[in-house]
Amino acid sequence: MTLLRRLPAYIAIWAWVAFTVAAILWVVMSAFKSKREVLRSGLKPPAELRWENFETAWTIGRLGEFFSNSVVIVCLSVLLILVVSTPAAYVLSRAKFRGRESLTNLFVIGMGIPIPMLFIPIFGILAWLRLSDSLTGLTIVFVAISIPFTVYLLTGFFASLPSELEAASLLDGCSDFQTFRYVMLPMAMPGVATAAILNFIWLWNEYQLSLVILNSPENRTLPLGLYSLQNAMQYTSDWPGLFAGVTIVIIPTILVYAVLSEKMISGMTMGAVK
Amino acid sequence: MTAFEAISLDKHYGEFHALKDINLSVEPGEFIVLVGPSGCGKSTLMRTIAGLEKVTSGDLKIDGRSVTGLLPKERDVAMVFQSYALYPHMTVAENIGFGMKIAKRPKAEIQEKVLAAAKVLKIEDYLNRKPKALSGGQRQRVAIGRAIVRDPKIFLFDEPLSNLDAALRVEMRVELARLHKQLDATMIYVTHDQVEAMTLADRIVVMNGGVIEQIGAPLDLFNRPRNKFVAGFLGQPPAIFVRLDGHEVKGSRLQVQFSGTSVDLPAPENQTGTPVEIGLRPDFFELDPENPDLSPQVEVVEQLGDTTLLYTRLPDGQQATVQLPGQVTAKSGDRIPLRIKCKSPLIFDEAGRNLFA
Amino acid sequence: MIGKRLIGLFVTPALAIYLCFFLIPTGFTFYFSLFDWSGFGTEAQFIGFDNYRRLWNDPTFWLSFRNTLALLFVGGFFVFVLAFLYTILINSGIWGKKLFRLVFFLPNVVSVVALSAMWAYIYNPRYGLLNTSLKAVGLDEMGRTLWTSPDNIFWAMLAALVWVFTGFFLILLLAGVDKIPPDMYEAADLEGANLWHKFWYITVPMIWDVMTISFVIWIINAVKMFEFPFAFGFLQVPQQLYTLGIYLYIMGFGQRDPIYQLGYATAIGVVMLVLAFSLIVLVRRLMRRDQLEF
Repeated sequence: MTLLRRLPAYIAIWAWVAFTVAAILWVVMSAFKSKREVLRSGLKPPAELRWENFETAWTIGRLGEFFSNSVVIVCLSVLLILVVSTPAAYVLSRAKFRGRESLTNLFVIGMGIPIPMLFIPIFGILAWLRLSDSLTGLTIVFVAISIPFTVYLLTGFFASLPSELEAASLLDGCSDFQTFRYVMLPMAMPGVATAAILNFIWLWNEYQLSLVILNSPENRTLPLGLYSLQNAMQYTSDWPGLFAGVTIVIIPTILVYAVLSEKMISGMTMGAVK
Repeated sequence: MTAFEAISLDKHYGEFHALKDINLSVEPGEFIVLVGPSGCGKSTLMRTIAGLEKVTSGDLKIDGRSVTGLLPKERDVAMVFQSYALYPHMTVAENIGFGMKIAKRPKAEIQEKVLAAAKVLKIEDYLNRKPKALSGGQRQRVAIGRAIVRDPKIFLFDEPLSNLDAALRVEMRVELARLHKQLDATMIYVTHDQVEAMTLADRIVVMNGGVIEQIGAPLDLFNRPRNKFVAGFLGQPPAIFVRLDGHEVKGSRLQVQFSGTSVDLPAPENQTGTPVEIGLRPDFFELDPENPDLSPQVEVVEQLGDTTLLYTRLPDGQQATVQLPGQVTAKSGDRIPLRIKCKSPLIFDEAGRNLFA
Repeated sequence: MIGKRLIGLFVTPALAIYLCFFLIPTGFTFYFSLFDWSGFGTEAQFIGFDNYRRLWNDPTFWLSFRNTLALLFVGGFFVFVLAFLYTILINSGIWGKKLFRLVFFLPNVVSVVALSAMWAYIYNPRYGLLNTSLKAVGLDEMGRTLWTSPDNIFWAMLAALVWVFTGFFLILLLAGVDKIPPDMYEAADLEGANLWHKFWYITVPMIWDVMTISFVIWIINAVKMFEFPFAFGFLQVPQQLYTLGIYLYIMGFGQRDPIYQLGYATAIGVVMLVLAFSLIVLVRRLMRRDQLEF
């Protein structure tokens, strides 16, 4: 009875879920097929696993180089974001000083700025600093655009920690820095980890500012590399090669997501649901 | 020398006047309980003693030394928090030894002191656990252990038992009393629970609206409350207050009339005000079918086994709680004949001052 | 108890980077939009509001503007209808709630370039998943549709976009619904409320704040939309896919050939910001109500 009543719900949900899973699975499967097979075999699994598609994407498509570019730039950016945002969020949520709320709002307002607005000014500024078309420049920009959300997320996290612990650490003889270092920071680690994962995924996929800032082929990040692969595909019709590239790009984030989805989702929703 | 002294202490939070001219001195080894309804300023007072809140004006002295401008860590006080405030990412041993670690004491000394404190509190088996893996009572002990190792001049307790269940609360209460004897330390304790206050304190400080209403030994406060607030705050179920219809002084006797009856009391020694109200504690009433002072109507009966609580209505419509020993058979609507015997007379003047204080 | 020195030490690095490389550059956009400026290194010429006057008479700008609005409202309509629908369905006490949530959100962790490559293949007229599936179930006529023809490409892109964002807002709405105490629904059950009553009289009021925030997030995302349609358009983004963000990029940097109308491009950026902020203010005003305590 209840099962019957819920049947429409199950069908509707499963339709969506099946489509999503099938679409992604099909991309990954296609990466192992031959050019002919991709066009003919539809949803069937590959007849044999053609790893050479990955080799093509990795070497001829240069995704290997771009992969290491992405790893370096994303990891460095995430590290820097956390290093600057965590202390700022701590102070904004825990210190008492004049103008604290306005300062917090100043940080938060960045979340509402449409990124394309930044294209031209940031290009100019990086050119002026002789950092255009450089991974260093992109890293700084990545850090800058990630600060608003990260500070917002971590401020909420620090604010949720009990203030009695701060008092206890003061009585235990901690200076303000020691309170942060030994008590509040370790307790905020779950939040910091969430911020790290979210930033990792966003920056790994980031593409618009990379497009504006990076020019030379050797500097490309993975999404840019995939974009050029996709454009080249128009001439080569090498769908399997493209899908191998797609697989290379999506595997890291999907792996991270598969393991840490709960943490990510709770981080995503924390700001919206108080 | 006093262990602790507060001199004309004032504390404002913006517009809000949280502490008003607080004067208090505590002898070494004394167990002081600050008690009052929520928002009365008791926790604020404790936090100013700890140095967690700055005072607006006035002076605080510990062992005769002014500590008003000092940081919490320089005051040599330890505090046990309501939520225990254990560091969740440290083990029990690390929690207890954290203060010493910050002070960069040698490892061996830390270990030794932690173990000693753990033995006193019987938590030596849990030293390597995280607080999460402990029961409420065990966490409470760790929090106390953290205070003990500091060997502070003053122990501060901020409602330490309020997060425990009823049975454990009684057990820990006795334990705290024992600990106080054993350590012979000065302790200041905040609670809103008057049973804790009555049982633990050498002296109770009753606070209300940011001022100290009265300071004194538990039974003194109970028997001779200075005013209506203290009289109503101590005692469970609370005393009721009935407007007097009149009074008469006859030599060394004072007779007061209310609710169509009258009670004969010894005249207060130093009568200053006019009696206008009488306070009646639930145990001031006795069953007396022959010669009752009044016969209120019962509304609700609560049988507690060893005593019976009757919620009654007096002839003038006022509600009165009556506590009678044993199991009294009565039901809603009954009129029960009662005699009033003021064990410690509570008569208040227009300003709410007790004439018998 | 946090000292002034620590406050300064802790806030300054984040503030400096944020100001220098994000907030102040964004502010410069307003300034640049008043100039005729045809390339970095060339002299910019002050022309007042001429760039905005030009925008007013620029049909491509209006096309981008219309596309952005279509995305915002038509896309938004489908995103939220679907997100609400699936929130109710997933929350109707069925098995596998966490798994479903996981899969619905999945597209949001995948690179948009990868997604656009995937959708390009789904929409491929001859071999694509969509047309082969349509033919397989006998819809031969429909199975020959050119989904990426100029007439269809915007809506094809929008459908893919709805697929991505539905999962995102589903997560937010579900989290809001999870916060509602279950005994409220039980109380409603006892009073004989049906599914619709419960949705309209309990769920909606209780997640009002989450809805407001979701709408605001959608506005921000829709107005700044760049990556997905850009990647979807491949090498040469067709004008049918232009959003304000894409038009800004094209005017600033060109696609194959450089254009470098930097002042003009920044004026588009200003339009984006004004659009986003006025819509956010509007939504906040429309949805304002007293705080609920529970």
